[in-house]
This record gives sequence, structure tokens and C-alpha cells, in this order.
Amino acid sequence: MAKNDYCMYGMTAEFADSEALLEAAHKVREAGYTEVRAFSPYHVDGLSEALEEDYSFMYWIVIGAVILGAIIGFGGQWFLTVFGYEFNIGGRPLVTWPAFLPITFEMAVLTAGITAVGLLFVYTGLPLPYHPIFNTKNIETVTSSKFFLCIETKDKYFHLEKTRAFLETLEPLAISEVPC
Amino acid sequence: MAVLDDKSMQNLPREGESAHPGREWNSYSEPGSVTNKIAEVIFARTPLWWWVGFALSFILLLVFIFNFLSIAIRGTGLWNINVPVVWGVGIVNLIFWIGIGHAGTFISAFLLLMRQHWRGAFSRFAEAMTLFALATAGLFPLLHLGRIELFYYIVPYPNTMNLFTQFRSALAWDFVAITAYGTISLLFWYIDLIPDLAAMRDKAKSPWVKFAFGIGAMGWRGESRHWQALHKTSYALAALATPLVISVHSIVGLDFAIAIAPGWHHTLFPPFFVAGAIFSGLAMVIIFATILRSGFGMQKLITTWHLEAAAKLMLTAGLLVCYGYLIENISAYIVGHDYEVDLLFARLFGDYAISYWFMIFCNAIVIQLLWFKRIRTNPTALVIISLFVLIGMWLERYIIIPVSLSYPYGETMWSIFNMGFWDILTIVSPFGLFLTATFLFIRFLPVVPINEAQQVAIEDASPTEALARDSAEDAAAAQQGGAD
Repeated sequence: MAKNDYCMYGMTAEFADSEALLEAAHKVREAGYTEVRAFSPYHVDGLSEALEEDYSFMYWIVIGAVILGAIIGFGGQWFLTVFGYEFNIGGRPLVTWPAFLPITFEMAVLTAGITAVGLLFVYTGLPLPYHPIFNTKNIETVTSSKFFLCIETKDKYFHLEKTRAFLETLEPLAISEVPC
Repeated sequence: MAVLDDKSMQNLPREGESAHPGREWNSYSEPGSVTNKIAEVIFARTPLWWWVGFALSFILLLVFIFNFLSIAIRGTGLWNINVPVVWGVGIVNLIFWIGIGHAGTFISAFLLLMRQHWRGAFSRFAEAMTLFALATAGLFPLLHLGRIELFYYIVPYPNTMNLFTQFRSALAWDFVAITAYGTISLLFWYIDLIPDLAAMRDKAKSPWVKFAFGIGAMGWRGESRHWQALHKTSYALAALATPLVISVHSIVGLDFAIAIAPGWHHTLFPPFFVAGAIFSGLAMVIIFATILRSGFGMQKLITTWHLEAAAKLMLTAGLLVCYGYLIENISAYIVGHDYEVDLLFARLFGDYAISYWFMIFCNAIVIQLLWFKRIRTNPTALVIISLFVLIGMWLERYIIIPVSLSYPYGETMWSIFNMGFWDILTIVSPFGLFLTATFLFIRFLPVVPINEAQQVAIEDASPTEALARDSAEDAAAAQQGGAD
């Protein structure tokens, strides 16, 4: 590989426990880095907040989907009984709304559930078989026992020596450069 | 992060008792220890008991396929159903199996919303049980239709006949409810499984196994952004699934309650059915938890504390069911309607009295043993009680369906339902499908939500350590102060 072809995704620091990672995340943000990714084997409370990641907007979309699903469920039944297949049972009304409620409810929940999971995949970008972070040394331990913090090269404060020196101050187990 | 506040200080455990489930997992307080335990189970040699269990289940599955095809091809006449008793064991099985599924969603969704962290020991395989039980249950309405090839008539689709579904019918409600429930359960189960599949991907040695887990893991890399999204989506799905699980069995209960038939036309049915469903589902969960923990040596992950908690829930649900029996009979008597009272006496003292009293024995008397802590912490006793509960809950549906149908309005139509060969085969053989799927699941997939158990084990274990450290520091400070 010619020297100019070398492409670097970022620089990672490896930690032994979640407290160390959480503290590091706070310090990295204080130092002004913005393109920071944290990796952990389980959900660490407060980590996303430290990195200013927010997914709460999802709840509003799901609530919207509940309403949409209810409209589809009730409207569909209403439309099909009034226009699709008129069925006169002894002159009783066509729109017997209490009997439509079970399907309305189920459709609302189904629509919202599928929306929530669909949104999860859109937001996380999964399925994604390859990601540069997989080039990190020791990264296979991230799903079981180790914690990683990565500062991406696209960060405006990223500097090969200075960032490394800064990461050293966080006292990680190891620091590695990640090619992309 | 668990915080040790004044309140939890006062609630410190008594001797020999665990106040907090996390402390039950103390032996897993190292990061990666739960992953190692699960990887050990998945990548170890298959134990002999698994082969025996799987072989028996698979034989039963073949019997079920034979049974299913026979009834599908030769018709529902093979069952001993007759004219008033048109709903036989097919519908009994449908309700029994949907009920089994309910505990899974109850444990994974309702207890998640209630922030009961101990559910982690059960949630994964209980949720898997839900899926397999639903798959089994879904086959019975198809068989019951008589003409399987026309089942799609239930779906409202544009067709040349200009026919549409009758939305006032319980059949259409059931179809929508069960498919919605199955879909949401599958999504819920799968998204929580992704990080654990990734953990297994990274532990696997063989490239093929790594590839297989990798496909399922979808390239999960444990990014905090993804964890947050997954976590919040789980909560959203739990909030959706909790009313859903209650609605599904309520709708199944409405199948009966909206029919004008003695023994069925009770407003009691929806809540009564939900309680019964959770009751029988918990019995199945306890049986599987016990098999798993002794089979795979998971006594420290699925502890007696967890079994006891499930037993307490089962007792609560059981008492609700008993209350249902009481109210059902009292209301039939108070209404004083001739046919209701006839049915009541026929149930209690007539041709079906043996099934009724055996059901009462299983569901109301045997479970009283669960009041004793010694029984609740004894896995063998719990399995035996759970088996009684399963039999009792099957009988309950039997009493509700064929027994009520035997005594319709008009004495001339009264007719007794006797089970024949095909009826008994239809009761026994579906266990083949359920057990085969369950055995495959417990062998090849992580049966405990690794990441969740790990998080709870670490974060709940630390207060104890912190407490010990703090008291040591206090003692040192006091000593120093005294010296000064």
C-alpha cells in the first residue's frame, strides 16, 4: 500500500469497565470532540446522554403510528362495511362501531410495533455487515467484556499525536489506530 | 446505576435471604462472565439428555404431522364432534396453546415496564415459548375450519366475488389479534436477541458458526447510540405488548361471551381468560426453567430465588382463576335462568363431574401448596405442581367448550361429547411441535438475555461491594479519629 493510500477511521481507547468508559466519555466531550463513538457489551446508563445522543423522538413517531393504525383499522372496517359489502341484518345500522373496536385496537398496536422496529433499523443503519470499527485490535471482546471509545478522524480537533496524548490521560488499557 | 439510598439500606436482606435479584447473580459480576457461561452451553458437546428429549419430541412431531394431515384431508368428522358440540378439542387446544404463550409476553413486557430486573432470567426463553405456542395454536383454527385451503377468506382482500370479511364476527377478531400478537412477539424477541447473537458471533471458533450468528446479528457492534435505540424500542414495544397480550386473550374470551349460549354468555370471561392464560403459561415457564437450569448447570443464573418469584406469580394468577370459578358458578345461580342452572348442575354433578372436580383439584387445591416457602424453593415440587396446573387448565377449557355446548337451549338437543382416538391424538401430538422447537431453541440460541443479565449482575452487585468498602473506610476513619 502506498503511503498516501492509508486511510484511517479513528483512534480507539479500550477500557475494562463501564465506569471508566462513562468517565472517559464525559472528558472527551469536555475536551471538545464531537465525532465520538462509545462501544460496550451492554447498555450503560448515562453513556448516550454523555455523548449527547437522543432517540426520544422515536416515541412521538410511535404515538403517531398508533393513531395512524387506529385510523386504518377503523376506517378500513367502516369503508368495507359501508361500501365494500353492504350486509343488511334486519335493518340494523351498517356501522356498528363497538364491534369494530377489537380490530381497530389490534391494527393500532401492530402498526406502531412495526414502525418502532422499522425505525430502529433505519436509525442504527443495521443490517450492516462491514464497519471500519471491526478493524480495531481486540474489538471482538466488545460484545462480552471490554469497553471502547473511538474518536473519528473526521472530528475537527482530531490530530494524530495530540489525540493520542489526550487519550493517554484517560488511562485506557490500550490505544489503537483504526484503518478503514 | 443502582443507588444505595436510605430506603434500600433499611431493606437489607435477612439472613439466608436475598433482597435483590442482582445479588443472586453475584457470581457473574465480572464483565463477560455471563457471555462465557452461555457460550459454554452453546459451543459445548450436546448433552445426552438433549438428544433423548429431542428424539422423543421429534417422534411426537411426526405423529402430529400425520394427525394434522389426516384431519385436513379426511375432514373434521374424524373428531367425535356432534351437532350441539361443534367445537371440540381443536378449539380447546387453540385456547390452551394461546394461553401458554401469554406468560412469555407477560414476563418480557409487563415485568420490563415494572422494572423487575429478575425477569432477565426467564424473559428470553419465555418469549421463545410464546412464539412456539402461538405457532402451535395457530394451526387449530385452520383445522377447525374444515377446509384449510380456503382459510384466506378471513383476510379482507379485493376479490371478484365482491365479498368481504364480516368484521362483527369473532373469527375475524381472532385472526387479527393472533397475527398481530405473533408479529409483535417475534419482533420483540428478535431485536433483543441481536446483541446476544453478536456476542456468540465473537465467541464462535468455527467460521461457519461465526457466519451463521453473524447473519443473525446483522453487524451489531455495540455502539452506545444503538444500545440507546434498542433500549428505547424495547420499552416502546413493551408498552404496546402489555395491552396487546391482555387484549388477545380477552378477544378469545369474547368468542364465547358474545355467543348466546348457556355457560358462555358471561361478562366475566375476558379477565377470567387472561388470568387463566398467565397461570398456565407460568406453569410451562417453571417447567422449562427447571429443565434448563439442571440440564445446562445454570443454577447460578436461573436461581431458586427466580423460581420462587415465578411460583408466587403463579399462585397469584391461580387465585384469580379460582375467584373466576366462584363467580362463574355464583352468577349462573343468581341469574336463575333455567338453562344456566341446569348447566351449572350438570357441570357439578352430571356426566362431566369428574373433569370438573379434577380441574378444581388441580387449579384450586394443589396450588395452595405454593403458600409454603419450602415448596416454592423446591424445583421438583414446582415441576409437579406445574404439571397439575397444565392439566387443570386444559380441563378448564374443556369444561368451558364441549361441556357448555352439550346443554344448549332446548333439551331435545342435549348431547354428550365423548373423546375418540383422534381427539386424544389431537390433544397429545401438538406437544411434538412445541417441544421440538423448544429443544432446538435451547440448544442453539442464547436462552438468557446475556447483555441484560450481565448489566444487572454488575450494577446490582456493586452496591454490596460499595457498602463493604464504605463500612471498611468508615471503620478506618473512626479508628484514625479515635487515635487522634
